Amino acid sequence: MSAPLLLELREVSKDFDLESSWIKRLFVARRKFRAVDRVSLTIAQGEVVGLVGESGSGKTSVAQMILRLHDVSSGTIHYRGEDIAHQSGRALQPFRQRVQMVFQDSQSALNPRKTIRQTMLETLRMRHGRATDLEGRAIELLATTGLGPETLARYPHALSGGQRQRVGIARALAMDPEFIVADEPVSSLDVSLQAQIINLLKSLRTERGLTMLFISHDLALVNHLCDRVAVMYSGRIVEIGLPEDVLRDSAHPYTKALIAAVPRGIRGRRASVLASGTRALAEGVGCAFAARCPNAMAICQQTSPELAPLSASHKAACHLVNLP
Amino acid sequence: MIPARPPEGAQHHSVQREGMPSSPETLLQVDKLRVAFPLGSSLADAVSDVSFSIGKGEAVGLLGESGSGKSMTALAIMGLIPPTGRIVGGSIVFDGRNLLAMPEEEMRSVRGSKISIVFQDPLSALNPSLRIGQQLIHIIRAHGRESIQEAQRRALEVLDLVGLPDPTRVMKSYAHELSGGMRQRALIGMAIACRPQLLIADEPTTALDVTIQAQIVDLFRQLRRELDLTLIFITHNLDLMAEICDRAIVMYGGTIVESGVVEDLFSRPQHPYTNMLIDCLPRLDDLHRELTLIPGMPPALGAIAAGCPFEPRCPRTIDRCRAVRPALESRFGHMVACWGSPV
Repeated sequence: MSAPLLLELREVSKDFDLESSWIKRLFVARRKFRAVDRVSLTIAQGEVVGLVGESGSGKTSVAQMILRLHDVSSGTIHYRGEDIAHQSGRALQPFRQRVQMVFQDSQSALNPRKTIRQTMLETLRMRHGRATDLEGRAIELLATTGLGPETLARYPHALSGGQRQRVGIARALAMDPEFIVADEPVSSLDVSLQAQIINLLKSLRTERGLTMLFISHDLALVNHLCDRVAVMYSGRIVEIGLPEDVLRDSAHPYTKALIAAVPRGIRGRRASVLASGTRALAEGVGCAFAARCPNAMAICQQTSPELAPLSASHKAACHLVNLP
Repeated sequence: MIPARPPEGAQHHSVQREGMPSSPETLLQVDKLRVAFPLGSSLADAVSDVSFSIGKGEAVGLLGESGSGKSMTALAIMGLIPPTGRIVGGSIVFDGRNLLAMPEEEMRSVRGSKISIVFQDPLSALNPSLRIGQQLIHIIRAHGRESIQEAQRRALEVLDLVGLPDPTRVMKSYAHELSGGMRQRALIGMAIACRPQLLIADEPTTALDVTIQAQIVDLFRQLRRELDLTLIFITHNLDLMAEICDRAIVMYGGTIVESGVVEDLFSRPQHPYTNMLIDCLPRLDDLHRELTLIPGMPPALGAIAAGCPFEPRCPRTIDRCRAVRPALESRFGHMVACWGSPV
């Protein structure tokens, strides 16, 4: 890939404290939950990377650390070569302008007591100060996302889910970002609206050269939008590669199970359904997926597999693929 | 009226269908149902002229976008239309009795015991301040004469049936202590606790992960097989519907635009809307295909003109579409309401 690197996560981990009492947190051994475990990921300029996994796999925590909504527990995050994980306050401001987020629940992401005009102008003022034609700019942005100027006068509750999601995207664009983190932006929408939003994101990407981290649990969506796909399980990236690699030539049993779970209509029914798994709270030994894995071997209980290259573009963390 | 089973439906693909009745006896017959809401000084139809019938043991999918009238049709069957709405016309005959003519007292004994519903969002459908067991026992005792001990035993049975591990623990849990998938299982358990004949599932998997969705779909198939349930499965996802249902009804703007055996609908969709619903779904097996867009939005309540409700968004309109609303007619063994020529 020749495009310059925009974002680089190196061995990023996130631990959450399980102890609610601060006295215990200070003086007693802390019980911790490792939500993200040594994740390394690079995103080149103009690239769209999909992050997939079930609820609780740590994908949202990764996004929140990239946006500095959470601090990292260990590891570094470099954005354009600068370590943003250990900056704070004013130093982060230029970064915060360049990186924007589109949320899953557009209803709670918009202020219910503000009209779309107020919401849009507030954001635009942050970007442009008191420049004259902010309203014209707001109309332009809404038009990019397929909304008419009449939307400005509406309150969020008067819009449909798809319209609200478009406002969420328009608001993110108001900051002229170069990188957008979209956390399940379509999972609460109808299929017809999903297609509209996905095509919108695609066109924004070609027209504005946006770089994107697209978080989803829907592999079919990721297949349509992304240049690269990373699959997370239990806080770790278990497989990463081009969509062709990960979705058509998947190596990790978890990826295979995710693929099998996608509804296929009349074109045939999946073979098996993955059993529910409970996630160990303690830092366990062995592969986190072993308990649910149909191909688990003795070694899987003992050592945790590391990401190993399968080809130039494809990596997986599984003892099965690392066998000689 | 929709023919219960067109002759073409005999040929099935690789998908195995369980619980197919050989000669379906009608369980539910909806005839010219019209549900309206006041809009300004007039009434606007949320459901207009909807007729279909469902045989015992059948699984029928009700498809369409938000606002297509699919959930409203289901609520009308349950007798749960929001207070501002009104059933203006038609009849809903369930097991030989017209539900619309039934006094509320009697309807209450049908609802939850003979017909029950599973809602989309289990967190808001479950009572947050009662344990799962209390809610289940309450439902069982409200519809029967069981003692508390008997109801408790039944509750445990039901939770086990819906595949919840450690039912005793789940009985003592509050909704917030369960995961999304477990909550949905518990909710399905409550819906089947009184052994209903008809189960309506209103987008039961939309809020769930794909893996959990697959489990819930399997659960519905298993329940259908084991309890001889008749199922109405409401969704906007055609692929998902096809995994469970024998027959599908596609709704748009409060009317039925196409209906028939699932395999027929997929292989020969006649209505442009059905076709677009199939094509707008992203699929794993095609690389970089542009998703087909259904331009525009579904019509707002009261905004439907005299002609075909889909006309403003349709890529294949002719003059007639604007003026006259097409009626359902038979085409290749399924029913379609479209003026366009057969494809």
